[in-house]
Amino acid sequence: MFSFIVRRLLLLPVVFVGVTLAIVLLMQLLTPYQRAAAYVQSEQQIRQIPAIIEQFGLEDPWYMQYGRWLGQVFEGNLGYSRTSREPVLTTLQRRFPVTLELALIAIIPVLGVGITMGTAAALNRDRFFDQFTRVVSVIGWSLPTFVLGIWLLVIFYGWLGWFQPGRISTRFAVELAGASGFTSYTRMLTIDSLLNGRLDIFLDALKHMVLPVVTLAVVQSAQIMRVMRSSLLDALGQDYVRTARAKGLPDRVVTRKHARRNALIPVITLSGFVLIGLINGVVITETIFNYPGLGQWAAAAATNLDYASVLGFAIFTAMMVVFANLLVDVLYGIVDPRIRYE
Amino acid sequence: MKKSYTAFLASLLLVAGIAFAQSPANTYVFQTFGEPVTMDPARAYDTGSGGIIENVYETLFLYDGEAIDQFVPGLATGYSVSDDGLTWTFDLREGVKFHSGNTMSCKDVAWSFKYGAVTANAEGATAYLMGHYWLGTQVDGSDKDAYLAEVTWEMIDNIVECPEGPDGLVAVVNLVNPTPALVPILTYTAFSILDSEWAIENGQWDGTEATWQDWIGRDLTAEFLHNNVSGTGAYRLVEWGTDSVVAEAFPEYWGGAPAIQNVVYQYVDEQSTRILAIQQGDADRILLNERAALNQLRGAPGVTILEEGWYPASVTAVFFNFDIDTSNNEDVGSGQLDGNGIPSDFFADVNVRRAFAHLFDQEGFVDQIYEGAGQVLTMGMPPAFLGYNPDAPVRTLDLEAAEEYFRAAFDGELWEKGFQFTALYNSGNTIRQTALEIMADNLEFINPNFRMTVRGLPWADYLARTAEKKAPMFALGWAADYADPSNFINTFYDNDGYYSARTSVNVPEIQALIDQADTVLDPGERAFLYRDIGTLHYDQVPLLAVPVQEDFMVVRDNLEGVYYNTMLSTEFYWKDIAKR
Repeated sequence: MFSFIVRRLLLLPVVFVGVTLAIVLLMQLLTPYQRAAAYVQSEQQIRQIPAIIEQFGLEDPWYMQYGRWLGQVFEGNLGYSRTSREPVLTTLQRRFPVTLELALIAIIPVLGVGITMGTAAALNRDRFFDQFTRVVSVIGWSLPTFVLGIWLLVIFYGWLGWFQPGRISTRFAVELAGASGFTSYTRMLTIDSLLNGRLDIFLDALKHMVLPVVTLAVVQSAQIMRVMRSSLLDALGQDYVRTARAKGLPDRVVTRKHARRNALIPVITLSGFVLIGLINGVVITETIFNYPGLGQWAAAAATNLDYASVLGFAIFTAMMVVFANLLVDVLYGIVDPRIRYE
Repeated sequence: MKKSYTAFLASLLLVAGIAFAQSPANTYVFQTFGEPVTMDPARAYDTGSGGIIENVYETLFLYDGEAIDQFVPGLATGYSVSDDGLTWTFDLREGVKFHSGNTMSCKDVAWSFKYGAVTANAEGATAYLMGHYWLGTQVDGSDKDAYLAEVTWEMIDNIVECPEGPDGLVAVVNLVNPTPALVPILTYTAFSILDSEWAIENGQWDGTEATWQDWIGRDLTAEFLHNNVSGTGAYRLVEWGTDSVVAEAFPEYWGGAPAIQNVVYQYVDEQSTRILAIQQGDADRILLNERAALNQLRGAPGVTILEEGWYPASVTAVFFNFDIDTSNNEDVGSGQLDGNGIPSDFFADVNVRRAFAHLFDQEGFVDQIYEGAGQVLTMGMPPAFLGYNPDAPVRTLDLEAAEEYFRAAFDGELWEKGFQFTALYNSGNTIRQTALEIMADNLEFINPNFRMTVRGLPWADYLARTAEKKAPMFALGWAADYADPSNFINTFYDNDGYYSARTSVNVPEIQALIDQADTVLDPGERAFLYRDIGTLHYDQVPLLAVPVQEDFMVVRDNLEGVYYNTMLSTEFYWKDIAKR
């Protein structure tokens, strides 16, 4: 197991170089002037373009620019994010917990709904519930996030006034800004508020997460639902399930202990990627609900051609994918005793 | 299972049941887009930063309500100017406290102005706006060697003197070139007065000759003042967070406590989210991307749309390039006057410019594109500015006149041979695109041998193209930095002005008036000179001013004291508003 983990971790530098090199080369398709112009926001600032090219060495060959950036990275400096006007590393540290908090809360309904409905659909194959879940999953999977997000916002914020966008209500935002009495231990508002004994802030933060979580859950659980259904159907047709039934075990035990456990293996694989997808793919959701996480920042950085931020985000994403893969592989071994790493 | 499900539902309802408090009564919430770039006035040159800086810092003079040509005492209570216009003596306000608790005096004015001149940030405004006047050069700090070749410590040290000592309340600003626009320029946020003691304590420039060179062109975004503020403004910065700015009233403000205790700027990229927020009362004001979105808010309870004939201090214009670089230039065809292109001096012929001006339907543009909410400009300057000539005639759609001028151009050769070229705009800017397309469409009626195509370029390519002087005709604009006609006239019309690098504009009659206006201090006399430029604009058509669209504001109806000062990044000072 240990050597397996080490081997997987050795992949990291390869992924790192591959991803960053691809982005650097892609950026070279733009002329230095084009890249410098991304810094310019008004007609007044046009005159600064030559200075910007000079300052950032945008006319240097790509390998020099890449080498310069790589040198910084080895010194622990991922560069400066123009979008968040602070070092990229600081932004990642600040925004990642926000997105992670959202993703961790969202994964609960995503898996809960996906596995439950997928199981029920498989057990009721070709009956009404099965057809219903199929339709629901197709709708959920094909519904554009921004459409669903805006609908939810209009209904639950605009009409009913139940749930606000943003991360926290203004009155708490004002209270917390510069307040010395509230300690941010994890940068996750729900956890920090509980650790500070502020149930009102905890409920407020939770309430602000409802709409983005529902948006993410509707889209992502559809995928889990489909995989769970087909995987369970496959498992239910296996010999060991027939044997279990022949032994006279009750249906419930056969399904839960024998079929579903095995059917969960592909779901585990998928859920690792769903979590990564939730963390890295919440761009639209965070933008619509004005949720200040990684996705919102990455979207703005890409629009601004913010070189350092895009690279920083890409590295972070690549690392997340490698680690998620590793985690899923390790989980395999726990769920499925047949899998060994030697 | 049933129990836990019920408990889950109950907790969900509990959460949902907590009524949303609207924006608190002592708090002003503004939902906008475009976050600040910096809090350092020497680096800021954008409305996002300006909107905060103009409320947490102060300048020597402040704007008086809506008036852009009236200045009221800010940190200065009065001033006098020497006969040669080179020495300006400012009396400073007594007992003004910075947010740090320090007391403002001459040393702060001196440090602030010198800090701006030394850092000369290429992305800021200090070198561009004041370099010529207090150092005799607009060189910025991006090229340290070039800067040092022109600027010495003695020149920097000479910018401000404190005749009553550093803690005195008289500051003398010395210029090397006079300008009648000094007070408007110094009212721009770039010339905010900073807390020198506090800045030095926190590792900023110590203000001495020994270290000044270390600060030339320094990256100010990595410095303390980028994120931290100690100004004299009515509000102090509490937090500049991930997606919001929070400020609170400064209890020791010299002008008395403002009515609003807290100000929250929330940066919300999604327009529909902002619209819902103002409807729900979670925002007291929102910014909309475009006028068309107003239709979603008309009649919404609690929401007021203010449309009071306000116009922004900006001008969009169609520029003619007097000296086009025709080499390897696809936009000028053959580069010759042979019917398949245009020569480099195509727009240097005044009859060509006049003819193109008659292809543009000014009133029609206001009626159809702005749905009536716009104003035709007689010259390339906002109407509220000193010297704007409202009586100057305007060339508008007149195909007969256009034909007459085309026939006269190039001694008749143009009419015989015809021409073709491409006019440019930046992709996505529909106003600029439409203005050019109207002219191209109308040109077809004049002469079948006249062909003008219109193409949009990505912003970066567009800038490059115009900078290389390869764009024969292009639509671009300018937003005011300071409330003085020179900010537009010199920018657009001066043969050494900002746009001359793209247009090679050269109209000697106008140039003579600009040179004269630059040296006259009397506002009345200057106004006459600029009005004359307005008249000459009609005759010479150095550029074609596109009508300006009326501005608006969307606020909650309990917000009081709102006004529209087009020179302020956020239209009004926070200290002037209140909530019912």
